[in-house]
Amino acid sequence: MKKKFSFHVDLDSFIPATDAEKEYLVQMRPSSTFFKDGVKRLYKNKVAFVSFIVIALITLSSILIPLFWPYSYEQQLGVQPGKPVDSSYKNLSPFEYGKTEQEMIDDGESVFPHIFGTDKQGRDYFIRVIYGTRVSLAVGFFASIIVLVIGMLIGSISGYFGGKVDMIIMRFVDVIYSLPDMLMVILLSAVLKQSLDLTGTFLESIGSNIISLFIVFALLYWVGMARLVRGQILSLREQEYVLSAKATGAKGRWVIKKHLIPNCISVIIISAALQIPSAIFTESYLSFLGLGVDAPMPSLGSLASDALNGISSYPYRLVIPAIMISLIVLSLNLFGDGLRDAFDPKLND
Amino acid sequence: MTLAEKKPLIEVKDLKEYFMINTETLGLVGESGCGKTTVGRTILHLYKPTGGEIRYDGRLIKTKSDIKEFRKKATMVFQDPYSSLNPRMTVADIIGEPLDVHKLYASKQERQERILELMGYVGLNSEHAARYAHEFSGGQRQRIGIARSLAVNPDFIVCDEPVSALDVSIQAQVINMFDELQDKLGLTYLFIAHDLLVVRHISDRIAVMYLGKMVELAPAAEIYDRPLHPYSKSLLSAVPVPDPKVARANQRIALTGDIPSPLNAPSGCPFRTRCKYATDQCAESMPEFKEVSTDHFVACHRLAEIN
Repeated sequence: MKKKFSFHVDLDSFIPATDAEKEYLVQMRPSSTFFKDGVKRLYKNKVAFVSFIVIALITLSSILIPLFWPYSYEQQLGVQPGKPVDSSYKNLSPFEYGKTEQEMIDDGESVFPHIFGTDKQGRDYFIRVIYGTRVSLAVGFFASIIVLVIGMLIGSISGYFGGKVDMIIMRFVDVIYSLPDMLMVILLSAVLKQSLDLTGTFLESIGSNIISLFIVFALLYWVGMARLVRGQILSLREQEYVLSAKATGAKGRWVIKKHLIPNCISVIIISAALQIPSAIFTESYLSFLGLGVDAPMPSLGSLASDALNGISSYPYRLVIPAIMISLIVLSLNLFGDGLRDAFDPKLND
Repeated sequence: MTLAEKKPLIEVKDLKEYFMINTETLGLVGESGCGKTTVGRTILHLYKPTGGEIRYDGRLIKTKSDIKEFRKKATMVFQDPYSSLNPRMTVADIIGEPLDVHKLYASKQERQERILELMGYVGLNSEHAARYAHEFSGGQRQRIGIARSLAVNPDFIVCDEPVSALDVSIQAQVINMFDELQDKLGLTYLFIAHDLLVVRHISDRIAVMYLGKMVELAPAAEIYDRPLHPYSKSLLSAVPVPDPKVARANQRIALTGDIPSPLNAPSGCPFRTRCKYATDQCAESMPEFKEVSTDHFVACHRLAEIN
């Protein structure tokens, strides 16, 4: 019997909850992975999102436009087999037409316009810019993939095994780091350009210059990535889940593959994304110096270099590839920053 | 039949008579830094032993292939349920990792069934399998860690302070789960802890360590009622008692000074620098670890005078 003014709880006034009621109170958030969270954060970052769209548009157009464009990057429009060279096609201004084309238009036929005019050999400049963008982007992506693979492999071995292995690899990295990289890039690409013999291999179609560029990147730029990965792995390998994997009997390869790399992959991907614009930039200045891709294949750097001769008469031929380089490098950098903010919240203080 | 006459499952020589018997729980206590965790990890060959020998079921564990086989029989539960689970793996992958490493299944289906069975052992629902560890509470995470340690169907588990990171009500659940799993699966535990009440609850025998050496080993009830080594006495007097009347009556034996560095341990008995009964003999020789009554081992020169 309950006393007056007593604070005793009367148990009869409680009834057990039914299963349906219990179910109702359980709040289960849909399982969200680290990756999904990151994408969500990236999507909210307007600058990064716009940059991503710009990169996507540039990449898609550089892949798709050459497929249907009526002119090709190496076709000299004034040169027809069996006819004298028609010099009216050389150095056309934007939206100008050559002599035969003008006659066709006067006859009522439609001719595809030369949006950026033609260069001094009568090649459609628009398609050359698009093709140059394609080459530059390809160099950027592949170079950063090479750097990613080599850097990740060597960095994770160095960080995981430590001790003497780490010592030797890191001193080697220091040596490469201390070389002046501009000089090394120029020397290496000059030497490789001469000494690479690709005739008969499938690489021939790509050209020895681009291959030598890739080798230069592979030899010089993996060190930054290797250091980054090593640092990450040094701190991660002390985690108890690594010890637990070892207690299970897991070998080094398993631990690196299943535990260490997945836990620093975000940092690695961000760094690789920021590597792309730097590779594009390096390719551009090498092409500008004449060490880039083989003619007649254009790249943004070699287009700018060619335009230097006629800079007073045709300044737009320098401005267009320059704007293209700036646009690619800027949006890749902004996108890389966005990636870092979204996937590496620790750096975001 | 005394405990020592039963067939030992794990033996560690050099620490003298340091063995675990099938389906018993050996509690290992001592202050921080005395080497409890090191003992646990060395038994599992996570640290390379510098001396002595480790036997499993009578067989010496020495070569790489011995260790590989041993890893299927002996596993570990870790102290920190937060850092011991990989944040990038789902619960199913964490629990299934030992199965993957030792390739203990023939088909994906078999692996999944085994994982669900293990999750059932530790009281997790099957719908938790696809989730990530950060979505769970400390107690649940420790259950995941225990399920992982059970995956290879071990005989022996080193529990390295498995409950010290959990709050008290969850501690009780996890401790009871350890008990149930022992009954169901016939497990042997080396239970490392610094919470003496928890150790008393779960252990059959208790070993007291000081500065890397065992100083006393006895059945749990015996060591709490009648500790013989001066260090054990002091350690057990520090156990908080819930009844204030009893607590007031108890004499707390406070030690003076700090624990010496294990790298520069004192000569003879390691405890002599802080022991009020220490004599010249204690500085000269390490006391023998001998059985003073049935199943009760102590290492002290002045045992007879003190007690």
